[in-house]
Amino acid sequence: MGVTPRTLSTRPRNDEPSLRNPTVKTTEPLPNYISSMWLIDQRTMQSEVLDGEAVIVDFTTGRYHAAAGVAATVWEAMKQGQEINEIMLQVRSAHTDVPEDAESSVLAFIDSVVDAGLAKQADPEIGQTSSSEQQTSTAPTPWIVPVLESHNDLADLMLIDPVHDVTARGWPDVPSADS
Amino acid sequence: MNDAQAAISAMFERSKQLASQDPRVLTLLIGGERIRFVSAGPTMLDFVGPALAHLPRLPDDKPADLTVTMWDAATIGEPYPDLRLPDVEPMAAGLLDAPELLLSYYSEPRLMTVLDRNVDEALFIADTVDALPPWERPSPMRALLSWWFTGRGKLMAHAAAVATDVGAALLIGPGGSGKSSTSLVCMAAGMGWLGDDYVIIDPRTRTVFSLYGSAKLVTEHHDRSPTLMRTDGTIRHADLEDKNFGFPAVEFPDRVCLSSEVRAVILPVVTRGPECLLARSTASRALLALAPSTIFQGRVQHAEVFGLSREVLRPFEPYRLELGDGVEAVPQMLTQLIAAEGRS
Repeated sequence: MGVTPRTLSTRPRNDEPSLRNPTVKTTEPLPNYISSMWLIDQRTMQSEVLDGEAVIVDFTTGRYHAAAGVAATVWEAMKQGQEINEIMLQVRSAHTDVPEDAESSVLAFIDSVVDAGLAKQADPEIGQTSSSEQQTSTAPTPWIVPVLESHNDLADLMLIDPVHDVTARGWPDVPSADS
Repeated sequence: MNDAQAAISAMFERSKQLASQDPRVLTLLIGGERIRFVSAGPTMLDFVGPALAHLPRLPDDKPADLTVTMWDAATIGEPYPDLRLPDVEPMAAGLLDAPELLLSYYSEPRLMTVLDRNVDEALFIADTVDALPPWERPSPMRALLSWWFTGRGKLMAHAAAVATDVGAALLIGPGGSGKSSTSLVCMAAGMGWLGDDYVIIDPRTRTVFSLYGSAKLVTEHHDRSPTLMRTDGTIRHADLEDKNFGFPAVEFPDRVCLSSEVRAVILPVVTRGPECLLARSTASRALLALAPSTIFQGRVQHAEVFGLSREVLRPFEPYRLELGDGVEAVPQMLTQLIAAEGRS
């Protein structure tokens, strides 16, 4: 039975906006994401797409998110490690009436995902393998500007019942017999 | 065995010794499992008892699936275990999550919960029950039960449930969504009541089990409908709304339903509109309503709890219950829905 301290922090970062109510976050200017791909640490979160909407639970922050329609398509493509060109191919194959300038909306969505701490931009110098797994074939759905709906109402629960980091020395810090 | 394991092992042994001197034993059927509470003296059992008093009692001399040994330092005269736990703020909790050994603790007041899943044994140790967190009495050992039931493939869900003879409606949603009010209104109207905040669900059989016999209502809601529940205490927090709690399962034992097959999944939402309405919701909204708040109750085993939440919801097409004026219509709405879903 290995005893490995687990460190969890549920404290929101100071620079984070209040997500008490669902918000849609867009930021200008957008980062340069040409030929970028994104890393999503799936050990610290769980997500599933149901009825065309992704449900994303971030275990490290207590925040949870929803991404519907085009946003779900983009999220799934990001999870597969796809570059923006591949992501746009996915979007155009899974949705109808996709506008010519859709990429800027998709990049804004990706920016909100990164800003929420759900993904980070991968180093392009490091070889990443994209699974480029095609999504399950379903009837295309209409284009809707992708947005990330974020919730932080469980902060109340965390106020009551927060989980704190254990010390760097680990736990329990039991004195040795000769100390 | 390293120092940490040795310290915890010694704590288990000492706790059993303490409990053997004046054992108070209570064996209950909880969530379809035999759980035995062995208290060193009456204090801890008296503390957790009201919340579990409605559950079926089993013989104390037959094997149990989980044994929880509990004691409090103040009345036993034993020093609170010194495990050199890291300092945390008062009322905050620390957490150790090892593969088979789970521990959570509060620093002030001091409260410790340990589960050793290798042997299905647990400890629940307090410095003094008088200073325990206010939510422990209506829903004691929440983290412990969540951890253990997860390992048994059952979900300790952050949900309410009410039932008819046909089956149950599961009410899911974050705090303040109307779970408690809905469940108590249904109980007052004669429906079976399984719980207002936490229930156990076996996704393999779609069975929902009663857990705590307590209910918590935001004080404002309680003041509006004082006959729904007699208040036994108030949970206060500087940053949150006060909640009154009581034990409706003790107050209205004939309304308690111990288990039922889930037939419908409901997402209540307070709209303050002119009437109450039922409308189709989506599987993703149901998962959003159930999984996050359930996951963060136990605070470990996140992926497992997420998966169990998904399994619990998978068979159902959920409904949204808009709670406006005329909540007295809700019991009939849910009764008809349960009957309709039972036929489908």
